[in-house]
Formats: sequence, structure tokens, C-alpha cells
Amino acid sequence: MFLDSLAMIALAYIFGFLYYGLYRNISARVHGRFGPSLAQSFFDSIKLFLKENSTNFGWMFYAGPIIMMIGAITTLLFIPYLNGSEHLVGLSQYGNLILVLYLMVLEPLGNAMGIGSNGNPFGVMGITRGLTRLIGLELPFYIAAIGLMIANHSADIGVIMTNQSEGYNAFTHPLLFIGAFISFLGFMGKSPFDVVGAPQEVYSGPATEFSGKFFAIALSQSAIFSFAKLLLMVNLFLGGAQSLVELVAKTFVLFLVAVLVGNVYARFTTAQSVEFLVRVPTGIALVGLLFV
Amino acid sequence: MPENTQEGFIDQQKVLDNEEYSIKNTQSIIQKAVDWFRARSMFVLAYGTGCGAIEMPPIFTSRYDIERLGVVGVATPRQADILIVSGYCSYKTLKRVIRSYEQMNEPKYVIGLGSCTINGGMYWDSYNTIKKLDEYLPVDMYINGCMPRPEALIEGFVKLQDNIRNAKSEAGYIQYRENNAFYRANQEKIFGKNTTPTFEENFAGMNQ
Amino acid sequence: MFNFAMTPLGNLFFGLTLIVFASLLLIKNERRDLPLHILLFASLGVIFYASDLITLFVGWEIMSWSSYFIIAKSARIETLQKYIIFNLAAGFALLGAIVLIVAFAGTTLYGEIDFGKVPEALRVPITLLLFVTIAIKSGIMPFHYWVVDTYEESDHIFSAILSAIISKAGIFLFIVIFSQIIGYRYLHGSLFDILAWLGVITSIVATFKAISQEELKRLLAYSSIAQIGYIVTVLALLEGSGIEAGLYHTIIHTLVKLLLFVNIASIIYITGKTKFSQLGNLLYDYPALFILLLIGIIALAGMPPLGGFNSKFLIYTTLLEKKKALLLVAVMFSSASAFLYCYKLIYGIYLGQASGDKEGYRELPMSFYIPQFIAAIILVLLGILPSLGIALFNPILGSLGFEVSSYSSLFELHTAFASFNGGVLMGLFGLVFALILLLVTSMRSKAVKVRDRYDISYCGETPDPQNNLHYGYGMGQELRRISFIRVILENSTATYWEHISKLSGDSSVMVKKLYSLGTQYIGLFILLFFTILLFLGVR
Repeated sequence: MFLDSLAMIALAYIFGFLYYGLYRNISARVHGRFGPSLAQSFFDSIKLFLKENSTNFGWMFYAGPIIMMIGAITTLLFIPYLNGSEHLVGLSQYGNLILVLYLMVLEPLGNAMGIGSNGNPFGVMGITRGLTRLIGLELPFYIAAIGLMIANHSADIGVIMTNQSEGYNAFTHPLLFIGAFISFLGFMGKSPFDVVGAPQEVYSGPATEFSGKFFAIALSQSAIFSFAKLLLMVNLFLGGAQSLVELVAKTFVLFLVAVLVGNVYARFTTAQSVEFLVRVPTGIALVGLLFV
Repeated sequence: MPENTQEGFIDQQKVLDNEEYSIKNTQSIIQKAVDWFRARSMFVLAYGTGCGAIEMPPIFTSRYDIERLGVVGVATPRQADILIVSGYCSYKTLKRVIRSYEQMNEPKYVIGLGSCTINGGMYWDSYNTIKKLDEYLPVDMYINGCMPRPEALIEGFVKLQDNIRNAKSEAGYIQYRENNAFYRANQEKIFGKNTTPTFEENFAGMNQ
Repeated sequence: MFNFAMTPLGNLFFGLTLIVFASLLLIKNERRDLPLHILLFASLGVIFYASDLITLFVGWEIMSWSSYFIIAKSARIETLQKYIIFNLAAGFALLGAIVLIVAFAGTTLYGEIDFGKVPEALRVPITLLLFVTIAIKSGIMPFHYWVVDTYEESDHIFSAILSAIISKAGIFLFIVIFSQIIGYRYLHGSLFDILAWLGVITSIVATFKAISQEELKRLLAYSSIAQIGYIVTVLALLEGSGIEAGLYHTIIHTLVKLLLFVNIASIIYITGKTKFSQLGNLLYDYPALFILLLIGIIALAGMPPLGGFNSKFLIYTTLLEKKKALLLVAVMFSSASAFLYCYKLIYGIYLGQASGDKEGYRELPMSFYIPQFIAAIILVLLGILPSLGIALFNPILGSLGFEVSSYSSLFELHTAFASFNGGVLMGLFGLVFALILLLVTSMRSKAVKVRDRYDISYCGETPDPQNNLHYGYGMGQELRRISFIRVILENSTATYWEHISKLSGDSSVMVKKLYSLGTQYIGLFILLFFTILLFLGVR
């Protein structure tokens, strides 16, 4: 089980950074540039790990990125990778969808604690924006999750995944999928829901004081965490995957859509994004929920 | 070390390029790998001090696309590796530049963009502009011109990456740490004793 | 005359009362009136162990009055009026319901009451009277008007008792009277649907109100209202699993509010300040208090791996089982918004930059830590052993005649929908934390402590203590830009209650006029009265 979990984390780390590299590349192509190499994000994180020193604001600041990393890793370990496989399941038999939804909030919490303790007002501004956005962001996703849990009469991710052999939830519950997908775009932190770290407005937002190894851990956890989110979407709506190749294909498609949407849209303000999320995707998902 | 007799780009660059000045190439394999990563990924804090600032944005655009080389702009000094001082630097700005530089984490490098950072350029007799940036902050790479074109800036980045990768010259931040009294004295000539922050205090924290 | 019985339910609530009172009475407080506290404690015991309705009512009234006199020591007169009017109304409503039940059932003993004897037409009014009692005591909208001011203005330690225990008396009454005395089969389901929605609307509104508060204790008071909203919602499902979830949340909320109110009391004791805008950056001065508050808000937000998650999990799965999807959406929305006030609480006090100087701060006595430690330890323990709560509730469910839920091990919390293992979760957290910490500390990169608190990246500028860098005051203000939250924040039930109070004032003036007309008219009235009486008697 330990090796299994380690393999999950390592795969998520590699794919997360690879996808982030792809994101930079695709954005570059959209802008008409060549873009950096695929491994550039990986190089960045290694370089940050190798900085001679990192600014520390005290023990809570030190613990903040660690809590973020715990949030990312625990979320990942409670989501099975493959459909019907004995490998790469992590601890998923000990958890369920509700637990995963709550573990997903641990990462913002660690972020908030670490950043709050450094006393930089820009960081806290970013955090408040993030938590305010979370009000709107979680609503459609929760509705979709509730719909799926009621439809399958189980909160077990494995059960929801295997019950899709006749048709993906994305097609049997299309409205739930649309609602959850818009909210997923926000969870990925791309435009138009990227108010949290908007560099033109709040410096670097939450990351303002993170440097060296702390920033490296924050980057690594965000790579792992975004892969976990992709995985969750694939498991809930696209029927999971039988093999790693299928998994990569499905997650990549989701990721590509998120990146392309992010490149096209301008940024919402905090209030706009909450209002949009509470009206449009929530409305769509609620209609979907009534069908369930 | 050769004497720096005249003020001017040629002499200044000669000093930096000199064999005696550069350290001997004694990297261990691990250090080589570390330096390779450092050269491969550079986060830039572009401090738009003077008119040179206008030459920096183009390098991130699709025409020049410096992201190919692993150079990315960041907003906060905490994450930055490279400080670009772009052009003339008034006393008031210098204070902020030094503050930003001292908040950066080591290893850190400074690029002086334009003639003004070398000898004051057209501001050579200005009452409120520094003449030689190197007296206040250790410069790792000068880019000559008034204004240097973005191509020149890119070449500067390439050369700096080469320097870092092969450890061709001692990095500026080590000089700043070791000869801090010199830089500090020069800074105090302008700002007086009550300059904030003081590097010694920052540096003392490292041993904790 | 007075009948008592030891029931498992009474034992649970009395146990919680004992924990709260015992740990709080250890704290030295010159302003505390010990006899009144003992009276309050005894009255709670009477309520929880009563086995007839009259005893219950007597206990209820003593509880209301003894807390009134305790609050009277520090509260303003308006607050006291609010408190006593609402609680008298609650008492009258309870008395009315009891009288109606006893009149038809013919007995006051819990075990012998047969609600079937009460005529159909009176069942709805009795239920409504009981709703009013419960809603007032636990602060369900629109009867929460008295709660916030009372919590804010009572003694800082007594607020903990108010929130942790006295608000739970309403919950206890709900369970006892509806499931034990009346029985769910006689109840009108649609009325309870309305109550469930009232509960969840209460929690949503109170959550947003909490975010926008500037006073520490007002934030906690609104949070209290919100949390009890969940309990009422889940109890109003009229299910055995609902009672289980409600009781679990009762325990968690009692512990969390004990911890948080004592923590806030400690901060107010140390600093003498009560507003977010005056505090900040106490983290490194009082690390133990900070960690205790962190445990408290993690449990309050219902995040794993602490006990708070278990009760949230049970609430969600209960709602899922009953297929109350919209209700569940509303509960989840409210609890997702709650993160913001949880963060405001911890950030405003402990994190960020200090606002103002720290002179004149008092030393904190150790006794302030004891209640917090007890609560924190139980919360962590419940996180590791989530089925410990189920083991506690099984006898209660059995005695109330519900199906007892089974559990294979204490580590695993099992429901029809899903299960999770608290031990594995906590173990994973510990392991990952240790591994990452090892990784971070062994890294080449050295962590360099900053020179001072103001060495932050601030666009190259050097801020000084005169710059106000604390964000605690402004946090939550920008929520007003979001239209539906602005509607919540700008409206309150206060206008409604003020209107009612004005109406009653006017009508009392009219009554007063009758008496000031003169003696001859009074004789006329007496004549009129006897005529009507005669007329009625003839018919």
C-alpha cells in the first residue's frame, strides 16, 4: 500500500508538471510564441528547491506549505486512479466523495494560515478573494456531486466510477456535468476565475512572500493537486480509466479545454465570479439535480 | 585584479571578463547540475527604473519570446533571481531598488541595462542620479546602449546563463555579502545613516 | 410531585453540562456569582433528568431566570429586555403546549402520555407552540433577535455556557418532546419540512452575518446560530439517523464553542480589546492559544481529520438517504461559506500585522487553558475514533425506539451511503506531515528568518508601524458587492421586531385610555361585563 501510494504521488507529480508545461506551451502557441520546453516547470521547481536561502517568517509560515502539501497528497490518495484495478488505488477504500470534497479545502486552509502569518496585506487580500470565490465555486460542484451520489446511492468514488459502464455520467447527467465543469475551471485557477493571484491587482496574491523552497513546495503541491482534480473529474463524469494511457488521454482532454477557455476569457472580478457561479452553473446544475 | 582606470563600458566589461577576475572552474558534478538548473530557469524582477523599462516588455512578446530560454517575469522580489535595473536610477529609486535586491533570495543576479547604469550616460552630471550602479549593487551583466534593443537584452541573458552554467565569474551576490562594507558605505553617502533596511542585520539572520 | 429518571439522553446532555461547568468554574473570575451558576447548573440537571412535563417546565423557567440574573450583571437594559421578553414567550409557549397535552392525555408522566388522545385539530397548534419554544431557545430565525446581543454583552466566560449548553436545551427539548413524549407517528411531516428549511436558511443568513461582524463575540454568536441551524434541520427530518447526526453535531458544537469562547475570553482578558481592527499578530506571543483556536476552527469548519468532520458527514449522509437534495445543497453552501468567518476569526486575532501597540497586556492564568485543552483533546480523539460517538448514541437511539446503527470498529464511521476510517486519516496526516517536514528541513535551501515583521515585499517600499497593514477589519466588507449577499447583510429581523414592539406599545396606550376615562365609565364597564356574563349564562 505504501509503495502504491508513493507511485500515485510520483505519477501525479510528473503528470502535473508535464501538464503545466503543456499549459505554458499551449498558451504560448495561442499568443503566437514557441514557448518554453515541456519540462520548464520542472526545472523551475528544481531551481527553487536549490536556492541558497528562503525567507522565513516563523514556524506557522514554515508549516503553511506543508499543510498545503498534506491537503494535495491526501486528496490524491483517496481517489482511485484506475477503474477496477488493484493497483494505484491508494487509500480509497477508507474514504469517500464527501471526504475528498472536504480534503480539497485543506489546501486553501494551509495557504491561508501560512500567508496570514507573514503579515503581508497583499497575500491576505488574495486569500480573502480565494475564500470568497470558494463560496460560489463549491456550490455547482457540490450540487453535481450530490446528484451523482443520489443517482448511484453511494458516496464511494469507486462505485460511482464503475456504475458508468453503460454510459458516462457526462452524457447521462449532462447538466450536472456542465455545472461541475464550469466550477472545475475555477478550481484549476485559470481565467476567468483567476482573481486570487492576479498580478496586476494584488502583487502575486497568496504567493507574494513565498520564496525558495516554500515556493517550490507550493508549486509541487499545486501540480499534484491539479492532477488530483483532473482525476476526480474523470472518475466522476468520464467513467474512470481502464489503463494509464486512457487516463492520460481523458485527463488531457479535460485539461486542454480548461487551458483553451482560460486563454480566451478575461478575468472576472471577485464579485462577478461569485455572482456568475451562483447564477449560471448553479442554475444549470440545479435543473440537472431535479432530473435526478 | 586589473585597475579600473577609466569610466566606460569597455573597461567595465573588461574587468568582468578578465581571466584573473574570474574564478577557476572547479565545479563538482553536483554543483554543475545545480548551476545548470539555475541557468535554465530565471525569474526576472524587472524594475522599470528609467527609460530602458520600455525595452523589457517586448522580450516577453511573441516577437522575441524569451520564455524559450526559461526566463519568466515575476511580480515579487521574493521569487526573483534576476533584477534588471533598466536605465538611469535616481536616488529615490535607488532606495527601492536596494530594498528589492535585499529581499531577493540567493543566488541573485543584477543586470544593468543601458549606458546610464555604467557611467551615468546622458545623466553624467545630474545632481540626483547615480553614475555607476556597480558602486551600490554588484552588477553581473552590463548591456550597453542607449537604448539597447531587445535583441541585446536577450544576448545579455544568454551570456549570463553561460556565466552561471560554467561558473565563469564570481556571482555578484557573493561579492555583496563579502564586501558589504564597501557597498554600504557608498549607499550611506547618498542616504545617510538611517538607510533601511541594513544588510548586516538581514545577513545576521542567516546564522540563526 | 417531581419525577426524575436517568435516561441515556439525559446522561449525554448532563455529561456535556458537567464538562462545560466543571472546566469553566476553574477559571478565576471575581465578577462571577457562584450561587446563581449553581442554580443554573441544577436547573439544567432538572431539565435533562425530568420525567414529567411539570418538572421539565419548572427546570426550564429556573434556567431562564438564573441566566437572566447572571446576564444582568453586565448587559445593557435593552439587551436584558430582549432576553427576558423572548424567553418568557418561550416559557409561555412551552407551558401552553404542556397544558394542552396534559389536558387531553390526563397525565404528566413521559411514559404514560398517549398523544393519540389529543384531538387532531390541536396537534398542529401544539407543534407550533413547541417550535416557538425551541426556536427561541436555540436561536432559529426569526426568533434569534435576542441571541447576538446577549452573547456579546454577557460575561466572557458566561457566553461560553450560553452558547455551549443553554442553546442545547432547545435541542434536548426537541428530541425529548417529539420523539419520546409525542412520537413521530402523530406529527405533521410538512410542518417539520418548513422547520428544516427554517434551520438551513438560519444557518446561511447567520453565516454571512458572521462574516461581516467586527466584534469577536458577535462573530461567534452568529456562528453559534448557524451551527444550531444545522442541528435543527437534521432533527426535523424525523429519522433515527437524523437524531444521531444531530446529537453528534451537538457534541461537536458544544466542545467547539467552549473552546472558541474561552479562547476569545482569554484574548479579551489579555488585551482588553474586543474588535478585529484592534488586534492582530498575537501568534508568536501566544502560540498555544493559537493552536487551540486552530483546532477549534478546523472542527467548526468541519474539516478532516478532527471530530467536526464526522458530524458534518453524518448530516450529509442523512440528508442524502432521505433524498433531500435541495436541503443538502443549502447546508453545503452554508458550510462552504463558513470557511470565510473561520479564517477571519483566526486571522484577525493571531495573524497579520499588529494594530496598535501591545502595552498593558496582562498575564493569562493557566486556568484559561484547561477548558480549551479538554475540548481540543476530545475533538482530536473523536477524529481518530469517529464511531465513539455512535457507541454513545446507540443506547439513546435504543431507548427512544429507533434502529441502532452498527459499527465494526471504533475507527470506522459507517453509514448506508459511505464510510471512512478516521484512524487511517489521522495516521496519513501524521505520516505525510512528518515526511514533508523531514524533506523541507533537509533541503539545501536555508530558511532565513526575516529581520522584523515589516520586512515584507511591499512594492519596494519600507512600511512602518504607522501604516495600517492589518486586514482584519476590512475582511468580509467586499462581500457587500455580491448582490445576494448584500440583500442578506442589509436586512435584518430587527425592523420586524421593532415594528411589533411599536404596535404593542400603541395598543397598550389604548388600553390605558380605557382606565383613565373616569369612575362613572368604570361602573358602566362593570355593568356591561355582568350583562354579557348573564347573557352567556342564559344561553
